[in-house]
Amino acid sequence: MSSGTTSLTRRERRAQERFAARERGAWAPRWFWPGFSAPATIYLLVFFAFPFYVVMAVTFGSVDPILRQPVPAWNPATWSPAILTFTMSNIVHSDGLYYAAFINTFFFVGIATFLCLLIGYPFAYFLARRAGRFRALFLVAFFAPFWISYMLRMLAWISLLQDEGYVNKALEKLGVIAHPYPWLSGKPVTLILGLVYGYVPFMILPLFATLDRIPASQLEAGRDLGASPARTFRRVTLPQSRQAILAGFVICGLPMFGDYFTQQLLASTPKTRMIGNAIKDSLDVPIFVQRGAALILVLLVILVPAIMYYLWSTNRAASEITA
Amino acid sequence: MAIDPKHPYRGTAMDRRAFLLRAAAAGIALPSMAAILAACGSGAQETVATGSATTSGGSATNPYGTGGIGGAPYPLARIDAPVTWTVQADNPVIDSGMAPEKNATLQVMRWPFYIDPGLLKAFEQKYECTIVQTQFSDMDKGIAKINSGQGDFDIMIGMSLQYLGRSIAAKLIRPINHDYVPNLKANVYGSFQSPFYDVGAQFSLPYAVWSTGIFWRNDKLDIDPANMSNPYDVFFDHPPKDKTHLLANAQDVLAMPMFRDGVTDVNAADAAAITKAKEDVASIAQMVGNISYDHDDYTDVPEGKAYLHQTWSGNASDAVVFLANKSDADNLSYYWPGSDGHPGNVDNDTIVLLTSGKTPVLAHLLANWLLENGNALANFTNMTGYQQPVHSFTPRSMVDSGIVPAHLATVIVSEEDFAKGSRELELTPDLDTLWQSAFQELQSGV
Repeated sequence: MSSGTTSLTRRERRAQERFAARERGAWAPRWFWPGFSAPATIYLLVFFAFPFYVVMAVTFGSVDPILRQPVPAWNPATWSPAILTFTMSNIVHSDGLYYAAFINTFFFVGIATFLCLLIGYPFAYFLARRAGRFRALFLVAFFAPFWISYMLRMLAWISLLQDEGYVNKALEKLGVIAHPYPWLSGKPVTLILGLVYGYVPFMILPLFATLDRIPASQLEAGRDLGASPARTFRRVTLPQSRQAILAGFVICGLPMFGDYFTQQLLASTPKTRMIGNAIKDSLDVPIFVQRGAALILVLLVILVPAIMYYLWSTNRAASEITA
Repeated sequence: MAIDPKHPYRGTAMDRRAFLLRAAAAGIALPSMAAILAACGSGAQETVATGSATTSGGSATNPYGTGGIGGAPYPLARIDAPVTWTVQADNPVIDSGMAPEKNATLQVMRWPFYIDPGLLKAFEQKYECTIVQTQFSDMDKGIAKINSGQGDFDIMIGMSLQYLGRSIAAKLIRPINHDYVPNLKANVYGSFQSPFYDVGAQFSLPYAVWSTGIFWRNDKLDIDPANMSNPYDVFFDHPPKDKTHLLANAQDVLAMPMFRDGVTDVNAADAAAITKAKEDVASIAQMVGNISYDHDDYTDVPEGKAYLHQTWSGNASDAVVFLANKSDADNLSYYWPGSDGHPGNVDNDTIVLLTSGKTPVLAHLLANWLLENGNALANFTNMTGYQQPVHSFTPRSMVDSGIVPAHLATVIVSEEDFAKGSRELELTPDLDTLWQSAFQELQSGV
């Protein structure tokens, strides 16, 4: 088949493309701007896609008979599903090795994320609307502790929460407790507070970014039309921050699913074990590394619907705006 | 700002909504990636050559060594079945009389906080070399690093006995020329001159020794395990609620109830014994409410996170360092049941020279350096808290020199203790799986 385009020489085609680009107002060839994403694409391929394949190869691989370490099966044709089947079976049965860890994780992450919202939303609202010229000061004051590493902050909490720590001393002085409360003895409340403390900034940032951009004129219009401040918030502010809340849930909540460090430091006991701990414990035992890899795969699969819903919701909101 | 309607990529300009969307996606990708990379660290090694090995082991025809018991491709050492490892033709002992490599870089692998940096500095100055240290957080990761072939590692400090046989079989370890290590004969306990796990000390030198015992806060517990007819009963009869911790590895945790039952060779435990031990530990967990399995005994007990902790003696001696008020050392007590004839573990790890190294003479000399009496003492007091099996270490000498408080002299292991205690040794793959599975069930609370 021949056409006007295919009968052109390569030089003519390039000239035609350049002309079309000039017509569009573009000053660079088509590949130029997409080329900017090349480093990130390569980064993701090297550090995400390939390691992900390694995890699959380990899950479906074997164990070295001498060193007793996992040997990845690079060829999918040789993959054995035994470990994944074992892992799945131990997740879905109530007496399984990982059942409690999954239930615990959803429970703790759910509560902690909701608390992050309860704490983060008013603070972000205050920063965006009421902090005035002290906004930067409040921002710095709030985020200053987070310049210190996560591990050090959690270690500081150990000092604060131990029997003779300031928290127990203060509560005893206030008459709330008669004896030191064993905060660090595997209490779910300590774990949840640790998660909230560790991740609440990730909730505040998207909320602040959104609330800060809601035009004051819209709020004034609501009040001019007779709405109370509460009604204005409900009808104007809240709907416009819905996507930010969703983003906060995703950014703040999903990393908690892989967290093992908080539990290990603040509430290390089987009763508070999370998926991250089950993964780490498995990776620590050479013959069980395959189980750890299988848990990683399962966790990823579980998280996919959450991110899909988020993407779908965001795209729908975007199309509603542009419609 | 007005958007140019002619701009070809106007639809892809990142607005606030898109930023939130992509930031959220990154939020998902990053933690998952961390977990994935962690898994990769343990998994990306190749199968070692198994040669003509069979799982019969222990026979004279085993290519890796003679003696021991079977059940693995290489012989498994036992106290009553010592193993003599075969020095392979393609992995010979280095010649005697060679000069140390000049201006060389010596690559050292070690556990965290497991060697005094001052000792290494002094070694560098003496032998005009540079030492590069690589840390490993558990033996599996350490072995994986060596086996990856991506580093010229010369020496590993702290190889567990459970990993020694497999590492020799995989030709990761270089045989030792004792001419370079005179301190072995001069300073080290006699029982380590030719230990059962490596007859003739051909591939290993002893590094740290420890007992596995009971560590408690004597100001919080009104019972002294040392005075109990069965000291292990303290975990069953008097475990403080929410304040009882056990170590975080299968062999130590499950051996404890076996010792309580009078079993002395826990390495030979069968499936029924392992199940019973698991149920016994589960009963402790039931009693104390929130049991913890961890290796943080050296901070948990001083800080009051635990009042009763199964402990390695080296961690108990380290705990004094972590006390806010040094006089509170009076509140810490440690007891090894083996000292009074009860079953109990006393163990050691090793220094091994690695075939991947490029400076074998310096590696020999560093091993010798660490077995020097004065250096061993500096290593103990400045950094590790784990003693080495050298003659200068006795409970008496440690107390007299003020290094260890008198009431904690029990943390020092003496040569005689090795005649009293059991050893934690490498298990057959099948048995190892049983132990690890039982412990994983305990960790999971099922």
